[in-house]
Amino acid sequence: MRMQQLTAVLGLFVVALAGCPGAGGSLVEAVRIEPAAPTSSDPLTVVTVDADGQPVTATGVTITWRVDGVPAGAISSVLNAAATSRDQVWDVVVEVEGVSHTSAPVTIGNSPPSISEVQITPAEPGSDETIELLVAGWTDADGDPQDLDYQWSANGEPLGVVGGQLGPGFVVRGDEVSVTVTPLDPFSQGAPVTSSVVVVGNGAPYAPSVSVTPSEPSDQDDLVCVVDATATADPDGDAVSYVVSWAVDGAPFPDPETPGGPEPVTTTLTGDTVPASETQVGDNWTCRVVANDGTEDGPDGQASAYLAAGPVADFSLDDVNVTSPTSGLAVSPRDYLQKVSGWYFGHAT
Amino acid sequence: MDATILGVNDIGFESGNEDITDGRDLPWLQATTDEDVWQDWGVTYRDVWVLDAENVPVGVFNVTGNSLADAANYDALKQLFLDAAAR
Repeated sequence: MRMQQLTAVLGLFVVALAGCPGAGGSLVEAVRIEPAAPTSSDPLTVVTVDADGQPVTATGVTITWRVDGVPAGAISSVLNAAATSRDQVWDVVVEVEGVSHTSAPVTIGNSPPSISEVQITPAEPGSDETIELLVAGWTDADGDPQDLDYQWSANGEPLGVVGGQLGPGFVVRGDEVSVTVTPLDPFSQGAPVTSSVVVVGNGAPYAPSVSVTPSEPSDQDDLVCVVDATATADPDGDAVSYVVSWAVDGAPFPDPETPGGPEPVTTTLTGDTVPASETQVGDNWTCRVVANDGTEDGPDGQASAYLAAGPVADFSLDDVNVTSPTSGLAVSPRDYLQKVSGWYFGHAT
Repeated sequence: MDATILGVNDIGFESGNEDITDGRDLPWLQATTDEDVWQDWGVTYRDVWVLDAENVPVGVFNVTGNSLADAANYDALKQLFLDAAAR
């Protein structure tokens, strides 16, 4: 189909058609706007047609673009897309040799948004890392706010993750990860863009979940550092080993300044136990555990226990005062629970 | 405040029990090698250990050099009992 376009001349309301056959006997029977269903991204073009609906040339025409029935001040045969907005109704009036032709109106439709690039970061993620993405080039001719749909995939299979991040636990070492991002506005979606593929590297072990038992120790208790064996230890499922270290009131135990001094003993993990003989009331003991998957250490897990003063050790001794109410009876501190008691330690001389 | 005061004699001083209890009705307990509370608690001669209602030590006051004839010492020991009662 041969399309003739009108061109504005010298800024006047008079246009001439390239290839115009000359004056006299206009063939123009109607005008129309192309495209017939424009969006806010499309320029509008007025086309003059003959009785058969075929484009024809015309000279000496005046053009008046109208929006919602009101002249918009545009006189060119081509109306820039920037002049239009979603939901506006445009028509155009073309006067040819004193005859006015009005186009059918067109309604400006929504322009779907677009993005230009999607990039995964970091480019070489570990399986213990949160994978994020960078989206560039958001464009929406209607000025709609940015909205994106995410579809993460690993090894070509959807992961069912639709957020903008892929947290640890969804992929393991060696997985090939990509993400497809689709720009959205309230009315439509734009063309999806898929990132390049990144290969997931080794993930360091997780911080162990650690506790000290007993949880409320006295200075009569051994302190045992316990790792929760039910917790997932490594993002790749690797077997891990643990290194336990202790500190008391912030100072390392054993004291590196005292070689050959007291050391932790082993209950389950090497050095996981501080003997009661090394503790005293008021101590704050902290155990720190680091897991290693054979490749790298993970972050440490820590737990502390404070040796609060506890009840005194009980005993049972005979009351030898013949005038005491408990004379001849065995007396113990436990007899005075729920009361305040004072115990004097002296010499009967 | 409901408080009880007891005494615990050290091992080796049993011979003085009769004299020290003469005219007094406070319980006077005799430590033994089987129940050596002096050792177990790590006490010092003339300590007064004040326990709260759960038998947790609130404080220890040693009356050697801190005569209770001195009002300040008396008040300090009394305060330990009051602190124990307040727990």
